[in-house]
Amino acid sequence: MELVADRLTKQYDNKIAVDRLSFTLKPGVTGLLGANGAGKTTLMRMITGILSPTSGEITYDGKEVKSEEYRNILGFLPQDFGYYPEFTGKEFLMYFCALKGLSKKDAKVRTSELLKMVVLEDVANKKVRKYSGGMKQRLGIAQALINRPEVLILDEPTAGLDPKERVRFRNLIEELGKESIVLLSTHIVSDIENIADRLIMMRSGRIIWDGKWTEENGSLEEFYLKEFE
Amino acid sequence: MRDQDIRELLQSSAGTPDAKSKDRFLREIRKRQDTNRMSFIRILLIQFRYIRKRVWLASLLILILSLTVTIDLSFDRLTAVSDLMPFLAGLGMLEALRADMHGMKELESVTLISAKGALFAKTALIGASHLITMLVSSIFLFPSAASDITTVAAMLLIPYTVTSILCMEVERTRFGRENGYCCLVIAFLVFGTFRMMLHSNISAGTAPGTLMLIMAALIVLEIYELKKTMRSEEYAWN
Repeated sequence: MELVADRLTKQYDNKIAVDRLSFTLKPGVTGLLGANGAGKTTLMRMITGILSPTSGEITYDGKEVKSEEYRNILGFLPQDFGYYPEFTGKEFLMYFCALKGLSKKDAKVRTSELLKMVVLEDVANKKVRKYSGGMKQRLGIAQALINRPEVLILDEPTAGLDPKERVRFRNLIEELGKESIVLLSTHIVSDIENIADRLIMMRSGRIIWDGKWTEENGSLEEFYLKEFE
Repeated sequence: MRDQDIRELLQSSAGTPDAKSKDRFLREIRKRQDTNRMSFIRILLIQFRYIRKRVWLASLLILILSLTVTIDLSFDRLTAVSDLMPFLAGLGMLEALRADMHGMKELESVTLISAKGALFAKTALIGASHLITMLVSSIFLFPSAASDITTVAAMLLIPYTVTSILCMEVERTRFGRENGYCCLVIAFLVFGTFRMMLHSNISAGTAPGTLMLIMAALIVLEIYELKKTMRSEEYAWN
């Protein structure tokens, strides 16, 4: 299980959003830290295959990220996502189960498992538009887990979650990281400080730190503030 | 031994696995299997379930209206049916392109079907139903219309294709993506234009050969626009 990015570059007109990044991700939680505009979202979109790199390549166990095989094992939570207004939480998950190739029977079982996991089973039949921000975010996390992903990409997943939900979410991510490659982007240091096996910090499209943050390195929060503010 | 008995026996001899073990087991199984490629028929069936009833009802309304004309031959409503065509097209485009409007495209992109596949399936289903509606309506309307079949077909097809071409053009722009209801505004504009100027020109005076040529050109343009819209799905983020 290995996701390899090789000299990955993305350029928009005159702006280089991601500049020749090379790294390998293995099972575990990798935190992607950086201020707004650092290139985190662009990088994540390239890893999911939504965005094509200007140059360089990304492969997962030799598979191209544009392939169906890769999409079959990929889970993704974008920074902002929408929903059809007529969907209930359950219907939203059933829809994505269908798009991810689950049969109706399997989709029902998986939807109920996921709604339970993200504590939304009581509001499963309520319209998503009536959900609070935190509930929508939990639903988004549930949809990312439908196909039991081997590669899970989460872009600012804790946005909108209350402190209690945040703790529950961290525990869930820690568990998932034992079996899958989890890449989690955030600009909130405390979200990943204790759960990330590895940290990648980005500034202006480049990696400025890559490795495990240990106590010898000092306070991550202070380092982050110094580098990004 | 009955199936039910075998199931009960198996259930009693093996406990329910916990969620983690189940996930691990299913992942292992998946590694040993080839990716289940979804057939196009299955993709169509999935999307069919999620196309809203209003799309089918609009087609039904047009068919009923056309049938009314056939029953009461003195009741000439070809222009009225033609007037509805821009709205049928606008509603269809609105439905087909709504993933973008509601911010679902990014999520759909990372599924087995992909956003492009989902859009293609929706467009194919809606387009096919509209094509059937127009064909059947032409047959219903022809006896009551004082014109030949080419004129009847042109009265239905031209406003429809003009609306859908314009909708696709606008939907590919950022403004169009953010304001999905543009399709209905376009439908209104096409409806107004055809009401004021073109209906009379089509129904009276234009030679069938010229109408055929216009329709063929519009169909070619529509296919070209569809291809461009599908391709833009791949590059939407680039």
